[in-house]
Amino acid sequence: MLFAAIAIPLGLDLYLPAPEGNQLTTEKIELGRRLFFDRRLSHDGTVACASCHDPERAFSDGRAIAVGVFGRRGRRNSPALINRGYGRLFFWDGRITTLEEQVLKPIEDRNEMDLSLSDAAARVGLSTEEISRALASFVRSILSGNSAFDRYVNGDRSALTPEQRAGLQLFRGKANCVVCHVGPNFSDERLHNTGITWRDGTFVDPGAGQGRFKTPTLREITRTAPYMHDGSIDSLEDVIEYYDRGGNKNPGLDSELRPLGLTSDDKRKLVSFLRSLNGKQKL
Amino acid sequence: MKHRGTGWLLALAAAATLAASDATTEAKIMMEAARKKEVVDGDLNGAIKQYSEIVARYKNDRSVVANALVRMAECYQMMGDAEARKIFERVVRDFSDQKEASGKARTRLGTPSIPRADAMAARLAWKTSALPCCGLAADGRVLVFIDSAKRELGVHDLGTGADRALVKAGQTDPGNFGVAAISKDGKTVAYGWRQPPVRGGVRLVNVSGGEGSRTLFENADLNAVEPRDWSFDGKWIAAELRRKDRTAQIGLISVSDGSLRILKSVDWRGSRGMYFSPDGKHLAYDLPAGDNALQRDVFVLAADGSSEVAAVVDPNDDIVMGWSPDGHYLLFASDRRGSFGLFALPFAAGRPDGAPLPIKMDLPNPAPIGVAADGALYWKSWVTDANIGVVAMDLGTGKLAGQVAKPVKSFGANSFPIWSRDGKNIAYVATRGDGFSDPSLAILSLDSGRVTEVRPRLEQFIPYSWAPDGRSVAVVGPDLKGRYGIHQVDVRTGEVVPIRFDDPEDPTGFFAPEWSWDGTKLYYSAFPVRSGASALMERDLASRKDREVIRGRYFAKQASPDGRWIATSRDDGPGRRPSVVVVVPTGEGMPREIFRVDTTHMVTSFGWTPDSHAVIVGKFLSGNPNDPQLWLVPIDGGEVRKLESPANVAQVLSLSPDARQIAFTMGHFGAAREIWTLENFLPKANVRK
Repeated sequence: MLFAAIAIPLGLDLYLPAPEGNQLTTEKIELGRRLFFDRRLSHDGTVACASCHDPERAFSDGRAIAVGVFGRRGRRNSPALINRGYGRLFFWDGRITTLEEQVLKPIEDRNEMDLSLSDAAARVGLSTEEISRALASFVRSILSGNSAFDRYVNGDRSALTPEQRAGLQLFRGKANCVVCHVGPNFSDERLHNTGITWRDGTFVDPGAGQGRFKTPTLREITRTAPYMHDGSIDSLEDVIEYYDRGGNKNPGLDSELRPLGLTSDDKRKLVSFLRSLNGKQKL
Repeated sequence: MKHRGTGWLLALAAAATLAASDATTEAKIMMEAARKKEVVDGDLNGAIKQYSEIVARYKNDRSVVANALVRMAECYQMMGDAEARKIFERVVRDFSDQKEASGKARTRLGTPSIPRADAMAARLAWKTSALPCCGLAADGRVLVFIDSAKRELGVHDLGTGADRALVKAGQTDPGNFGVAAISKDGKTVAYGWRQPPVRGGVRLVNVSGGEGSRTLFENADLNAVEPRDWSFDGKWIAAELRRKDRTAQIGLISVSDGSLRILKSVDWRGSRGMYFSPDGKHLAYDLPAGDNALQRDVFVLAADGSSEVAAVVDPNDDIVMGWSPDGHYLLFASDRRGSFGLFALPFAAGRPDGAPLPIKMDLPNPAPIGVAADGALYWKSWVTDANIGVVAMDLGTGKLAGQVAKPVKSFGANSFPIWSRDGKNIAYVATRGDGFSDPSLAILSLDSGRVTEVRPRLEQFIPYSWAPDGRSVAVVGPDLKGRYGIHQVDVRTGEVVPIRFDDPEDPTGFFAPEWSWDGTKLYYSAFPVRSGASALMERDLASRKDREVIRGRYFAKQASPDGRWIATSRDDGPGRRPSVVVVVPTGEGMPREIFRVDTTHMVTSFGWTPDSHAVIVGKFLSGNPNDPQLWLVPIDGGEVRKLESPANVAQVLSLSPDARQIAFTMGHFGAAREIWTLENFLPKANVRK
């Protein structure tokens, strides 16, 4: 245990990046936790960060599209806030590069919490910077590791079932998942066009441009349905079907996507492996 | 007469003036040429030679000599050579009438980075064909090396020059050595060990011998573990771990119980150097600057994982070289001045504490080893004179025609030439760094003599075959994500299109992809490690389907011009070397053996006669590639003829499509590494600020 503020679970890097001006402290994490659940940070006092990022759902919300104040629908699926301290890009389109900046955006967003930062600061008696630093610290503390997969790669060869081991082999080999879902957090933190947003000859949502969206983590994946940036796929089985057919063909489709030729047996093994990515600890 | 005499005198004076003017112009031209050598080419030794010639030739022109001496001294200064001070002192002493030059020299003498005569000295410590590893005992006396030919891990005593084997990989203990590092007390070596099919680990062996080696750490999910440095208290080994998902991680392995702490996940390509700070609190390493970047930056991570600082981040290529013994300087090599030089970054309280100080320019191809307790820096440098040779051949007489030409003029290594199918271009690999690092694909136009280079986004590669349309070549190697496979590289843009990757759960070696004559198929060798079911494969490029053409261990290939055959070599005996030449039909029919060499030789390359009636076979003595033989082998059973072959061939040969010229790698490819040491270079304490 190298950090005084938090414990890093098995499978994650001990080095958890934090900016020089916002090193992790227990006090900031606790303040951030309180703010995360504080509905005063929304215009009408009905929505907290936790409304769309429910700890019981690995900090996602189970809806296809996020719903904010006054029942306003957002544009995209609420992403799971897991291991974001290791992230390099934030939001589905990767438009923000620091957690400190990211955590303030939903407060101001009309379709989410719709509150000015000055009003938010006044309501909770903190400066905007203090809100930013505390919320970012809390989000950094949301860690998922010590899954069956982590125990397996750490040497416990019984941690995965034979079917899950076969799924891992597919994940890294024939199914080519690892080309994007790579590293301890199962994300390359890069933007890809997988064709999800290509419909009727156009990008319904251009994302970061050319239909590109950030690779999400696969940790706690069974708890974060529905899937994709628009929540358009309900089950892991359907996600695998989608990639097995090579995604939706479009002019900017990532060159790594192609028909995979997975058998039904392969698909079952892959799903079985993905189920091994849930951590032991309560988030 | 008077008039004529005056005229003669005037003419003489004019001629003298013109001559003086010519001399001045010539001196200027020579100075410019030397300056170009120094600044543009980055060849400081070459520039010094040219400045010396200027000093000698224009010894009566004090202005020219003074300026040349100043430039020469500045070159020595950049190389960290104490000769700089001597020359500046000479200019101040002997050329005080040359105000500008003597003023410059005086200013330079006031610069702290001018070494004193008793100061910095670089010397060659060892030259070896083995692979020296990273890490250095504190006394700087013992280096670890791996001798691939003997399959031995050993230590080399830099004082006595003696080598001693510590571990030998054998039949009873199958596996391969990885990177090794020696403890600071010089008593223990930690080395990476890779068990087949894939299981990475670290073993320890005592330098004094006696007890054999023991496994400290291993993990079946790791392809390899690379011990890089020991902490000064001997309790931890800093290592790079290469996972099966093709990621790399920096970790610490406990020497007492083998437990692992993963500190940070990093780019698959990992670091070139990794060093504990003397107080054990920090770990310095370099990493690629980005996912697609080829340059590196230097970082310092707290050994407890609590923080990281970006120590050297800039657009240049920066490689960590070690720490000064007092921990006050982080040493790194950088190409920020055009070619690699050594810099010292002041370091205090866990972070950089000032601008980097230039220490020594002219540090060619540095690969770090470490810093000894007395402050001597050690690094290794790859030595090669490999270049492309081309020679004409008369198939009728079987004799070479004319001298070997060297059509490529560039530094570094140029190797693996392959002739395009229209005979107009030769593609080859150009490398400027250590070994195969940072390779470019170079295209030599035989019409214009021009060379163009592209930098494919591949970690390493070897080119094997031109596509029939001349727009791309098929290469084998890992991409920047570490995926080993066959790729198609566009010769104009360097764009990489993957053709086939191996499966990390069932690693497969690929070899010698060869395009079919119509460009619709690619023939390649596959060597799956786990199953061992090696085969000559055919990929249909449109459908991406693979077909096993014939089972066996096949190697080099060449398609016949009529498209009917693939000439290839097969391992056919206990020697596990390509010793049998077969022609495999691309359509119906059976493979046919046409040539066989004895167990002391191997077949490495092929060419076809334009009529597709005969194969020209390149045959080498095993273990001694500098002994080529060429044989003309008719495929329908005619007379086999020995042809004259060029000497000094380091690698495979490539035959022009008209069978009138041979291209080959000449010289010594990767024959040696030099271990260099630099002493007395660290800035004095009073120079730091």
